[in-house]
Amino acid sequence: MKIFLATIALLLAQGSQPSAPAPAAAWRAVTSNDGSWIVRWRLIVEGKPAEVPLVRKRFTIELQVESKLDPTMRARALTVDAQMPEHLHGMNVAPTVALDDGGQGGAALGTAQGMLFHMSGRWEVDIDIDDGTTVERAQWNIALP
Amino acid sequence: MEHRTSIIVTLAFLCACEPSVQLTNSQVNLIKEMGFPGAPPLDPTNRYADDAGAAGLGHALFFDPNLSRNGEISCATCHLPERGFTDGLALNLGLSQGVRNTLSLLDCAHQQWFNWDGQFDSLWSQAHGPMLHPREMGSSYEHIIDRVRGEPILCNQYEKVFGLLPQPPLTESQSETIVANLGKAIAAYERKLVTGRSPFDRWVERWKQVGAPSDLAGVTLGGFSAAAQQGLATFTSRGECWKCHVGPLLSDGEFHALGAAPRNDLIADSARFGAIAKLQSNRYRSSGAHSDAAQGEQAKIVEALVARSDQWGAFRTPTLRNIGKTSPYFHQGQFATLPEVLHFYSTLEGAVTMDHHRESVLRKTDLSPDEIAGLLAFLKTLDGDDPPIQWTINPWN
Amino acid sequence: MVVTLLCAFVSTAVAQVVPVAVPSSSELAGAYLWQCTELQTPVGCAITRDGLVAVADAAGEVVGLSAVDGAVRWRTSRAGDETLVNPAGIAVLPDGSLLVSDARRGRVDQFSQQGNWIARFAEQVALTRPTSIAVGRRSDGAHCVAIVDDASHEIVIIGQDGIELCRITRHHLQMNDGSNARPSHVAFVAAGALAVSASEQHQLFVLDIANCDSPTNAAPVVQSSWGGRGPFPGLFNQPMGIASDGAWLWIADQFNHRIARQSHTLAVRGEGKLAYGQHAVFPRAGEGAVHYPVAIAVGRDIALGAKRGALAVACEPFERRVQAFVPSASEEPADLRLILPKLAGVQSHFGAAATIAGQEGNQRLFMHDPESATVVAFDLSRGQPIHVSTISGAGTKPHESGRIDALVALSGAQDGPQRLLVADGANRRLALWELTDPPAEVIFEPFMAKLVKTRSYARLDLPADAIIVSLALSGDNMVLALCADGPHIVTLDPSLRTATLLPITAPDTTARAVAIACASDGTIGVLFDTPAMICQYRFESDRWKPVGTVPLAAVAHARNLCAGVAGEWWVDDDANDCIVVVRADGSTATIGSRGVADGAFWLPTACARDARGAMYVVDSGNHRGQRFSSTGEWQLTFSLGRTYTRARGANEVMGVRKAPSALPTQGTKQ
Repeated sequence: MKIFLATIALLLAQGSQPSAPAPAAAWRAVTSNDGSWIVRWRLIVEGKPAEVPLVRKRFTIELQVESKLDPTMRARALTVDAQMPEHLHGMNVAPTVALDDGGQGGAALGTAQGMLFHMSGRWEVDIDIDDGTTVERAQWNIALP
Repeated sequence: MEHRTSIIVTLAFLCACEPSVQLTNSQVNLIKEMGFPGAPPLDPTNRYADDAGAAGLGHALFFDPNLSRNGEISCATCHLPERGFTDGLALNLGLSQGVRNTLSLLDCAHQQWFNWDGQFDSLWSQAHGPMLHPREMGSSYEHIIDRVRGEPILCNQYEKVFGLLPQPPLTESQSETIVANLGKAIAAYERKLVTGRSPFDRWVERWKQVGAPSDLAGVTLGGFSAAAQQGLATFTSRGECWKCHVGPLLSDGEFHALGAAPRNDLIADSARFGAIAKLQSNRYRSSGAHSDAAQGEQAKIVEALVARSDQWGAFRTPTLRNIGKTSPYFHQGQFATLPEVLHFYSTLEGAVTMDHHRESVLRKTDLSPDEIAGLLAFLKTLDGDDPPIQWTINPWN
Repeated sequence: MVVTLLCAFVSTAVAQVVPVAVPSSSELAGAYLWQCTELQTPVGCAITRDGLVAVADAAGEVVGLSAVDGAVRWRTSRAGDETLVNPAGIAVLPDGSLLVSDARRGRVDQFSQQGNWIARFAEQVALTRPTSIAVGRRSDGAHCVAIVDDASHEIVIIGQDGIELCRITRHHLQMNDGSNARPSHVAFVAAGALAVSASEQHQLFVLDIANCDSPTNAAPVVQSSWGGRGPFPGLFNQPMGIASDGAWLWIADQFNHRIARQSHTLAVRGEGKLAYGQHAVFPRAGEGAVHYPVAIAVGRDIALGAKRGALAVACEPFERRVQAFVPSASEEPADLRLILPKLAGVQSHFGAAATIAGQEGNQRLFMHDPESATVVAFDLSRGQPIHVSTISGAGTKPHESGRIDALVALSGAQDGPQRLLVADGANRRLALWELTDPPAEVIFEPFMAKLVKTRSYARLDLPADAIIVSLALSGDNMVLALCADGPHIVTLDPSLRTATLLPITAPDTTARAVAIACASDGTIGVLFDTPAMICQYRFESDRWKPVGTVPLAAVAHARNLCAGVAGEWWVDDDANDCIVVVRADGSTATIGSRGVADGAFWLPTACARDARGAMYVVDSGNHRGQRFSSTGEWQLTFSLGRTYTRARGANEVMGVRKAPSALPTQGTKQ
């Protein structure tokens, strides 16, 4: 019985392993929650592209925001924020967000500087994209070890 | 995932009649990060942080009661070397009784924020607080500068490090600069108050040497008992201690409202909520004129901080290192002993709710007596070797 | 008196109870003196030196009470030749006469202390929706009147002669984040110093109005400002009415259920503010325990029978009463720890909105908690409502809510993920949420919902400062948003991309549109509160064509509307505490009456119909919901933690410290 229980415990432990991380510095993509936008993003940590930020170290999110519905549609404004849903709070700092609307064609380019995750755990990054009519959210999770 | 973790730990305990502990991968990863912290990080805001002369001056200042208004209170009055640089009192006692517990200075140079509420963002900035506080040393710029100028030992040490003291009458800017320098000297001294390896650190190093196995059977070391192993497992799982007490300092360095009710005779404390405004208006903040890295990382963080009402009553997570030397516990010394602390975490008895609609991060864990015993055994292994003796003696004696 | 809370509850609505000794009111806010329950919706109060407590009852009356014992001395519903419709604010002029604002009629009237109408005040001053009134002195010593206009979010300063001096706008009330606060109540704290509460922003301001002396010169200076949303000292959860006794500022802190007494001279946030008061955890708890206070009046040297003294009076429309206290003379309460929230009592607080998403076997009911600005979700697939998630939370970020005014599920008849639309009146926006599919097992899932998008009211071309008060889903899955101002209906596609604003005809100049619902035949019903009626519309080419009116003579104050399965309308009457059902043939039936037993109500505020036609009624004053069959039979009672189907009698209901027979009787206004 003891061996059986121990085996189950080990199997469960195996199952709780996180999946293998993607290559560092890769651009990721996420579709906004109503399907209007595709948001590509990557993190810049200590001046270099990185997979995850460092706890209590400021970092930057680089963004490319492109309409999935209408190539001529542009993001007019971006809001970038992050929260820890399990902890019922967000960041302690306000990042500085800049947006270049992309000019002729292509995606709008944005940056959020001064992001800071002050705790380990699951963070939800929220990008709110304002097209002048509605503000649509794109989101993804970052697990900070 | 939490449920799964609970099952794993439960199963692991079921099959562990022997003093053996089976860890999950997440526990293994947590423990790997909990080892000896090593040397404190650099402090770019204080160019004298690691200056030997500044540390010597700071050492003298730290033990000098003549800096206080009545000539009887020094930093060491509340930060007693023989008590882990605390005073053993629930509430600090300077010129009069204060409203918060005295924090230990051991390993304080690892911190990002200082005081219970983080109203200071550097060690040198914090050093001014008690000197000028009317309930602590009750001093003034004028009194402090006069003392340094009038005491040849202090004056010589100051001028070796910072250059000649300007002659009176001093401008406000000159006075501020002198006092800033004195704070930087005290900080340089306090950076010397680092502890050596604890029994837990030695055990972690051995455990890592053998490959950080999830099965702790066989990873034994004197000073880190089987009960402590069990406590470590509880600490990193069901006890949920790890949610805030993580990393080498066993602290996330951040601010949390745990709901511990203030002592009967004290007003409720807004803590981090009120501290951010104080910090951002402090002339000695990292982004201020006296900082040596006013555009640095810490300065930018300080300027970007936002106060939110959910930070009301949030206090900094203290390190658990040297916890055996630093009773009583919590921001007003609400708990005299570690068993009392663990009883609170286990039951949340007497806790103030954050809002009667909102879940708190903290929840009752209903720890068993065995689990509490294990946690106590583990916590007792966190006391490190004392700092070098030369930094703990009073140089004026 | 030390009130001890009993932990032996048989109630539905009490989820967790911690049996702790609660300090008596005399230790905190002052000694309890009396309460008057002969009121319907008391929202404003004032005290005269002669010992009169005057109450503005939003149900259409001004009531004069004795300051000694709260006995009703007089009541009036007339202002000259006109009927009072919606008294909202009241203040005492230097000569002891009363000024009463009527928010619905857009005017202020002067009454004697005997309740006799004297004259209309400041007739030349344009006021759209006057609410809070304060009388005080300018810095030159001359008396003046400050009136909040809730439509324009201005504070109008009027001289004693009734001539407008200037208007303080919301642009003068700047928050730390650069946004502007909307004033809700005013009080003079000193000559030339006006305190302003901004309930939606949970903020207080003290303004120096010395430089506010002409229409072209309104330059108030903010002397101090503090607040933030929360339960702790110095924080508020919707601060409403404010009053000054010359030394302290008193604040009716509505959702913290307390009267706060604070210094108004401190500018440091969160420091030095003391809060007083005692949360009434259970409905009808009184004698010092306060529940949703919205107005406060304080006075010194008040005639109290043979002697004179200080008096404080608080209005609690949720309990339909005012309570009087003798304010504490001590500078600080004995034990400040007691001001912190330690009670875990009733967890169920439900506002005036409910909606059901999904199809049979897969339905969820959504209600909202006004205190925490959250939406609570109940799974209905197991026959009984089970609380499975809490969505959003208080704040101003896109995924947060300020004040939830309306909800509607957008996927009632469709496959695909369930979606929920929330109208947030404080943040002035619609917020669209998407929910994950229900798991196989019913579990609490805090991350069930994710925000999809928002659309601000400013981008709906609504009238300036208008808000959406109700939402419905049309038969062709278009969102119908009712704007009370106008009134207007905004039609939006389910993605909120397109919006069309069209006016509808209102039946009466004082009637206010409060709810919208869609019948199965496509008819739109818009509920007007007083006089209560349902105006029905159908969309024709480019307008909402009126197709009939359903008078609601039996309804004293209409609060909400829902379409039944057989074409009938269900109307919440929150004055008579019942549901009035109007069938397609014009016949009516009444469900429930005032009370706390199963099937009875206290402030019923919303209904939602499930796929089988059963009706879920929000019984807000009893902190619960109830389900009725489509023909009106009570089926079950539920709250966040409990559900039961065995009917319980009036003597075993929860949380009522008085016998039900002692409760106030049926609503006073028919």
